This record gives sequence, C-alpha cells and structure tokens, in this order.
Amino acid sequence: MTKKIDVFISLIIRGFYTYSDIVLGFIIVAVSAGLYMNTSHLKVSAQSITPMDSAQFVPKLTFGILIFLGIIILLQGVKKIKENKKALPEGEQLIAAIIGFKRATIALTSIALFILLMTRISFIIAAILYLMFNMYFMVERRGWKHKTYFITAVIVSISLYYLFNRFIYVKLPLGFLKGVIG
Amino acid sequence: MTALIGGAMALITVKNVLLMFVGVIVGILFGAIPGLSSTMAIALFLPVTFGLSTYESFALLVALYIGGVSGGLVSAILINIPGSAMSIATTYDGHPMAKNGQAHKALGVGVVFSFLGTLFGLAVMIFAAPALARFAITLQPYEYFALSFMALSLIASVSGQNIFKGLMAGFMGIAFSTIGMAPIDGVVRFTFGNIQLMNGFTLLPAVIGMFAVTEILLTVVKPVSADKVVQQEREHIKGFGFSFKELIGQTKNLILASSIGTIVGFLPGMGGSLANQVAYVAVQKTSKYPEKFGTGIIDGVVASESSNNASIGGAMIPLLALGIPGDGPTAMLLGAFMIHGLVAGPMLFKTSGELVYLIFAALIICSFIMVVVEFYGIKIIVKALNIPREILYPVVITVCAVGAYAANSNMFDLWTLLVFGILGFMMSKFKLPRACFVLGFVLGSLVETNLRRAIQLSRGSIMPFFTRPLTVVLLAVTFIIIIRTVWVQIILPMKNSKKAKGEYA
Repeated sequence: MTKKIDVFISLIIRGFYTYSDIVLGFIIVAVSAGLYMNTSHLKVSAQSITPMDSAQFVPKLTFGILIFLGIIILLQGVKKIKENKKALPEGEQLIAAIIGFKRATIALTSIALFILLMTRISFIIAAILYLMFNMYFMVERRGWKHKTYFITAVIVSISLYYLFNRFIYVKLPLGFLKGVIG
Repeated sequence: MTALIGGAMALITVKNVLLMFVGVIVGILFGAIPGLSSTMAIALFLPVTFGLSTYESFALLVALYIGGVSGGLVSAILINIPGSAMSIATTYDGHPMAKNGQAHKALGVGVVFSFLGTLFGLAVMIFAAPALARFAITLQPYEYFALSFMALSLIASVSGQNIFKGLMAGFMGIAFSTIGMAPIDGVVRFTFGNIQLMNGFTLLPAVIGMFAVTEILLTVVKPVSADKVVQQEREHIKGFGFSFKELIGQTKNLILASSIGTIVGFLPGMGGSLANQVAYVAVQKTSKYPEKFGTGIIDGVVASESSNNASIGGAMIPLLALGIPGDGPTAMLLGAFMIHGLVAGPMLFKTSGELVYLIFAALIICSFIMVVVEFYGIKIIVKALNIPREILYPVVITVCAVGAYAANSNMFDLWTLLVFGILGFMMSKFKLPRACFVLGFVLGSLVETNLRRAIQLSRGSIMPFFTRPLTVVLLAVTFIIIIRTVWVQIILPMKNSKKAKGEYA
C-alpha cells in the first residue's frame, strides 16, 4: 500500500516538475472564465451611473486579465516542457521530494485538525495535542525530548489561554471544559 | 516651539514616564506577536484610561501606538512572519539577513531607522499639520484613485524574474479582495451563499496564513537534524550592530521611505500596511544595486521600517487637524478623544492646545523610550534564535492561530489562516510572488472604492481624471512606471534573447 502511495506521489511530483506552468495556466484560465461568467449575473444597482461604476466592472476586468495572463503562462509552460524533462528529480532527490510532499501534507492536516478540535475538546487540550505532535514530527527520532515537549506544550497552552482570557478579554473555545474552567 | 516645550514639561512626571515605558513595552509585545496589533493594544487599554487623567491617558495610548508599530520588525526578521501588515516588507530583507547570521544587525537597523522614521513623520506633523490638513480637504476620490492605482502599478516591480507570474499573483490578490459586499452599493459577490464571506477575508489572518503557515510547510519538508548545530563564531556585536558610515549611507533611503510613509499615512484609509511595501519598491527602484534587494541588505529593512514608522506622524495629521483618523490606531485614538469629552479637529488647537502639544511631546519622548527598550531588548531577542526549531515553529503557529482568532473571536478567521497558508504554499511551489498577491489584496478594494466614488461624484464623466492637476501628475507617473517596466522586463529581454540566438547561429 505504501509503495502504491509513493508511486502515485512520484507521478504527481514528476508531472508537477514537467507541467507546472501548464497546470497553473489551465487552472487560472478555467477558474477565471467561470468567475467571469458568474460576474455577469451580479446585480447592477440603480446607483450605478456607468458600467465602470458597477459592481461588475473590477471583477470582470480582473478575471479578463487573469485569463490573458493564464494563457501566456500556459504557452510559456508548453515551451519549457523539454527543458523541464531534463531537470526531473531522480533517485535520492525524488525520494526526498516524496518525503517532503508527505510531511507537508501531514503538517497541514495537523493544523486543520487543531482548528477543528479546538471548539470540540477546548483550545487548551487541542493546543497541547497539536504542539506535542508537531514537536515530535519536526525533528529526527533520535532528537526526541519527551519531558521538554510535554512541559512546553502544557505551559504554552495554559499560558496563552490565561493571558488572552484575562488580559486581552478573548474567550478561547472551551469545548467540553465549559463549566470546568470559567 | 515654546508650546512644545511646555507640553513636554507637563508630561514629565514620574507617573507619566512610567506609563509611557509600560505602554512602549506592551506595544512592542503586541506588535511582535503575529495577529496582535497596535490597534488592538490601544482598544484594550482604552477602558484603563477611564481612571487616568487626560494627559496620562494620551501618554499611555501614544506609547502603545509607537511600540506597536515598531514591534512588528522582531518576528518579521527572526522568523519571517510579519508581526503586523505594517512589517510585511521587512521580511523581504530582514529575514535573509537573520539567516546569514546578521540577526543582530537587522534588528539594530530596524530599531534605529524606525526611530528616525518616526522623528521624520513627527517633524512633518508638528510643523506642517495645519497646512497639510487644509490641503487634505481638497483631495477627492480622483486623487485617491490615482495614488492607489500608482501603488498597484508597482506590482510589476516586485515580480521578480517572471513579470507575468508577478502580475498574475497581483491580480489574484485583487480577485480575492472583490469577495464579499461590493463598495458603494453593497452587491454581494462570490460568497456562494456563505454568510461568513459577506465582509470578505479579514486582512490580518490572511497575511499571517500566507506567511506563517506557508513558512512552516516549507520548513517541515525535511526533519530538523538531531545533531547539535555548532554555532558559527560570530563577531562580538557592539551597539546596534552597524557602523556610523552605514547609517550615513542610508540617508537617501531614509528620506525617500519616510516621505512616502508620511504621505501614505496622512491619507485616510491607506495606512502603514501600504506604506512599507510602496516604500520598499521605491527604494529598490532608486538603488544602485536593485538586484541585491531580497538577498539580505540593510536598504530593504531601512525602507520598510522608516516608512511604517513615519506613517505614524502622517496618520496623526488628519486626526488632530480634521478629526479624521488616518489608520486603525488613530481611529482608536479618536475614541479616546470622545471618552475624554474632546472633539478632534481644527478647534482642538484652540480649545485644548496644551493637550495637542503634549501629544506631540509624548510621541517624541516615546520614540526615545522605544529605542532604549529595543536596544537592550535586542540581545535578549536574538537569543530566541537559539530555541530549537521543532519547539519554536509549533509554538509560533499556535500563537498565530490565537492571534488570528483574537481579532473577531470568529473561527472563520482560523480557516482563513489555513486557506491562505495553503494558497501561499502553492504559490511558492508555482513560483508566484506572495508580495505581489498581498499588494493586490490590500490595494484592490482601495482602487475600486475610489474609482467608483470618483465616477459617482463626476456623474459618469471621466474628464476630472484628466483635468485635476494632481490626478494627472499621478496618472502620468503611473503610465511612465508601466511603460518602463514593460520595456525593461518584457521588450529588452526579448530583444536580447533574439540577439543572442542570432549570434549563436
């Protein structure tokens, strides 16, 4: 299963290195075209005196220019395909890129989970879990310092909660600790 | 001058001096922590001023303002995350300097030129406030549009190697700024039924996400080594970390950046978040070595920090002379005037002249306090670089998340932080400059609002854009910038590559 995932990620990476500008150009053109058409349905209020002064003008102009720029980037990407294929990561470079991709995905997921769990299990517990996970995750296994990470996570979470609650009057989410704290 | 000295004498009491010290230190902390800001600091301490006299209240609030604006450079330089939108451009050269082992020098330059920029803005404010205020009344949306459009044209100048990618990033920023209710008529755009998007994306969480979250994602791709890093032998740094010769060498940059900061700060709604970026580009364009910007040179830090601090003096001019706040912190100060039963505006100089000069004196004294506090603080702050990265970065993200939440106590701002973090990460992978995106995002709504106001005012006619002198000058300068950029970045390279191919054949 892991090997299949690695093969899939390596395909994405190699595709990205070869066709990044084409993909970028295509996405920008497609999204901008869609939003440009969406702009035509925007209400033109009675206050608007000329087309330049309506809610449609700046979005239409912006998406129009983005379509133009997207096409230029796409064409630049087509020109660079051969050159990009020569510089594709191989061997150890490719392995490092695959690991980097996985690590970035995990880091992103941990932030998303932190935000999601904040309202459910309280800021304090979510922050302790987030901090501890990332401290272990960011460093090589042989550099793990269990006591330091745990103490730091607890002190930072509780201090932030207390400082923001007491001095800045920001009530961070309490989740199921409501009633237990404050 | 006599009135200013009188104001300073009224200010120098033990209680006032203590309040100013505390205010500057708290302000620096608020400025340094991403997500918190001087606006928030002043808003939080407004209730505290109920129990203080008028003079004490303004001494404290002004100290928070000065400290808050200056504090942003700390996180911008050390961890590449701007403490506030006013320090975005400081990351461009400040953080590379820190990575090159020159963190102390970067901080020292930032502190000193923050101080000098503040004094520049205050000098303009003290001597030219009434005249500038009279001039400000004559400005109409045509001039505001022309100025913000000129600033927008600078996107191409910070594009880096590929101007089309730079422009794409800039227009993406403008596109994001159109989300929510349109200015003037309130037409709802691109919310797709999501109520949270009615007011668009909040600037601060977006900027923090684009810098902080992106930075983490770029750092985490490789595990931090468990080996103890052998610290490079560093020179024993004395003072602020740079020489008097280097200070004098930055005079031109200081004057240019501070002038831009004062002017931008003086225009209501523009603010320091715009000043630092416009000043950075302007200093780069007038430099003998523009290609070195972004690699870690003091010129970049000077440009950003002088301008954002000079905008303090600029923003105080319309507040004191017209009762119109120049930016967020001055809007809070307007609240302070109301709390103390005062009316900011032309009559303030007549009815409470002593208070006005006390505020001037407080601004000057707090600038000196800021330099002293940050001078002794630098040695402590630089030690933060010794904190292991696996501890520092997760803590920074947690603080940023809390800061993003603190602005509106709204979970949506946290999701904004994440979305812009992903966007910033994808932009760095596709080599789209984030600086251009932020410029477009900040300026987009300004340009649109003023364009629409101008058209409404002229009843649909575009003639005022070509007949009002200042508007014509600003649009002409914009046109020249665009032509020059197209020539230098598109036409010349095409000519050179054709020539090279011809020679090769």
